Amino acid sequence: MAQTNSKAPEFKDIEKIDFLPVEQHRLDNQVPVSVLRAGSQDVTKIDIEFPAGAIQAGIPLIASTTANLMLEGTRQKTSVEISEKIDFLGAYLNAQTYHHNTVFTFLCLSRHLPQMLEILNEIISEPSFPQHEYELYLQKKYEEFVFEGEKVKTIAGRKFGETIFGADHPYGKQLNADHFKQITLGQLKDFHKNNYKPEMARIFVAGQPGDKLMPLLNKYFGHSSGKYQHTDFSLPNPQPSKERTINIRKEGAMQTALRIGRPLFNNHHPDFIPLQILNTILGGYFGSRLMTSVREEKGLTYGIGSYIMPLKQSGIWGISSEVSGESRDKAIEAIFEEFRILQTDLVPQEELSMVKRYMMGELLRNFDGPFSTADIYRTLQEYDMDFGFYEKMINTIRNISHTNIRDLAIQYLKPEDFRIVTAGM
Amino acid sequence: MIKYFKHTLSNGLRVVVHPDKTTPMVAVNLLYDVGARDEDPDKTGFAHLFEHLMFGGTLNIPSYDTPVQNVGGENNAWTSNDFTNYYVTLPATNLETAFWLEADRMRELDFSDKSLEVQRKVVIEEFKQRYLNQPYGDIPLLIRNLAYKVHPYRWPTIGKDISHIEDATLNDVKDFFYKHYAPNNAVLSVAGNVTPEQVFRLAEKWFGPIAAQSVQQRKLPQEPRQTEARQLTVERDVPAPYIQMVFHNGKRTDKEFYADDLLSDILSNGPSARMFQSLIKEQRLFSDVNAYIAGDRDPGLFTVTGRLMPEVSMEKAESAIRSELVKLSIDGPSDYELQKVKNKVESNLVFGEIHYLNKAMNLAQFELLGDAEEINREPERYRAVTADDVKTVAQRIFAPENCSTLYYLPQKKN
Repeated sequence: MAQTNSKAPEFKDIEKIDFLPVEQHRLDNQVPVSVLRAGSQDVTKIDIEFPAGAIQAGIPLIASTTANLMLEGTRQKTSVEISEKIDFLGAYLNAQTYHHNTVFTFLCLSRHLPQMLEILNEIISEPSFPQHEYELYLQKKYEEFVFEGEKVKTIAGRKFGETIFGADHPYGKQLNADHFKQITLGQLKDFHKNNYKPEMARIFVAGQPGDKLMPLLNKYFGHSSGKYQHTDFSLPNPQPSKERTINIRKEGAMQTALRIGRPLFNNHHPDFIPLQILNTILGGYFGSRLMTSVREEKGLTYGIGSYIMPLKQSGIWGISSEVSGESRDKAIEAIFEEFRILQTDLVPQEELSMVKRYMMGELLRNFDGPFSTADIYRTLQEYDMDFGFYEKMINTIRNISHTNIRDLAIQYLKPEDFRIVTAGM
Repeated sequence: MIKYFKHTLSNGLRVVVHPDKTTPMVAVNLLYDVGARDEDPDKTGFAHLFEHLMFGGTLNIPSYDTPVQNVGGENNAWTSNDFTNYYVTLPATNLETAFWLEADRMRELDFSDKSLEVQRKVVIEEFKQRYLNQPYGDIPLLIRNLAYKVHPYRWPTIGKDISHIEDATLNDVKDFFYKHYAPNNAVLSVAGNVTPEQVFRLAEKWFGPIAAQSVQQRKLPQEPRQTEARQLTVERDVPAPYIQMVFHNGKRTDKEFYADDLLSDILSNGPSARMFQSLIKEQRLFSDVNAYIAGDRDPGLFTVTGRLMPEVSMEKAESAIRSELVKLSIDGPSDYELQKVKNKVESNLVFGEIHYLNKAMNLAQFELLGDAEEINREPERYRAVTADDVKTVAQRIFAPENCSTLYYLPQKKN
């Protein structure tokens, strides 16, 4: 029979990745604006970032509640008027709070840009923080908090943050029921006043915004007399828990959520990029060592993965999975066995080449189009970096050897550096 | 407007191509005309279990994933009640690798006990992770069984019961493959940085030699009209009561589909939607509400859900939902409201045209439903819906005897 072909067709390695050019502008008040102009549709996405994250707020719940309530009423418009207007334009607007900042993002047809900017300006500069919206929001949020807390993965995830950084560390501090009682409307108003001054903004635009973009941005966000210097305050060192393993029992659970991890550093560290490659081999893609062992060979889970998450003043290397309840210890053992193998045996050339090609494909995918490129660019800017970081990554991917990988595994995959949190059976 | 090119091979495989020069990537999407509705009632969950086995390798190519990753690609699949869909995205220069792999596993798999045994376990863990070990996770199992008495939509794609997966044999698996996996039972769509000539040539080269199979005509038992309201109450370890109401509705290809879809948008798409404003914000009865339609190939369900605030009684919650539904059946939407949801649909259609994978999946589905050109007729079909159309479908769907209601209550603690 024709075409029973076990030989793979010819393929090409990815030679280079084209990063879209970023236009840099400043508004009249010196607020930086980065624009990625590309895409086949007349669609625009705008992110406006303020240094208004959980760290600046100090207490959980304040930063995110402030941002979400800003959407619930301004001096001119009620909550329902705001949502009617945005829905009528067929647009999406939301606020997302991170450790070090809050980002307001909208996506709209470019022809609605003037109206969207006008309303976003009202939301950012003149929110009214209505009492009844505040109560309603908190009540809903509390219900969600309780609901999420029923999931084994949430239980393990919350404990994991505390375990890695310490319960009082800004990166480890977790939301709890008491925070809902302690928060006040006054705190939100103060937080808004101090952290949403016009000059504190950074603006990121992606898509096809047209040629009226800069005048429009200046009209709404270019006024203010103040000067702002983005500064970082330094955080204490992580204090991982003394206990190496923490098991939380949840009655009636059929699966156990696993979180295994250690504190790490961020993307400025010279080993950060090489570790991305080791992490991919370990648990960063479908064909990874962990997926192969724990899912494809042993059938203990539907999925398992590992990730490296940079933080402004730290980082995490973590592994997460939900495993069959009775196999918890078997799964943990299998995970650490993969650590050991990476420390003793060189990664076969074939596997290493495959991972390199896979990672290059991922980069090509991630830098495809203005929207995902803009997201990456915004994150890089948070670390005072640009696409040069990825040039470096491409170089490292090309040149790293299997002995480099083994040495990294010996240095960074010491079992005693890792903490284990489980929730479930 | 999505520009595409079509060609059918002599073995019946339909091929659709959409060139998109703005991306260096390409998506290759293979949609098979088989889903959970094609399963035997005693062997449910099979279409989905089978989807897992499709990654177990063939005699020619022992691993499916390795060659994909080796050319910088990524792949995945999903199963629904109607379809099984496989897709690969990869650098466009390596397009041929996807054709080689997809054609190879369309021809024959390496059926092994070991592979079946492992994937059985993986799927059982998926069953637990998604349905049994999640608060409210078993609702799809309960509600389908309440709303359908004879149609195979009465079970979800994961299956009726874990035991069906546990009992699956290698013979069952082989039968399933030869019954449904054939070129004449699939649509191949390709979107990205390619030309139609290139794709048609590769399709001919790799899929052309695969023989057509005789695929049985589908004879599914159709659900009789529901003539009496149904109700089920369960107690589980959850933090808040939850209500789900489902109504029998039309199918994806009915001309009322567009009015149906806008009806669900009026109720719950976006923060200004009726249920959100009235039930959450004004009356403060719920912490979460939703309304959506299935868009299935056989008559599907219109679903309304709500998670109750503490201290709110189920009776009060249910009657508040009902009064929203009745209001729409009597008065219909206002012109402004209808325009608003149409605007949202219009921008969502534009947003949906940004990504090549999304376009590949949509083209394949429209082609399988009858004609890829429907993708370009959608905007007009939504625009043509009138307030009266919405009112008419609301009256038909929200009839009390057409409803099945599930009360999902927290267990009483001792």
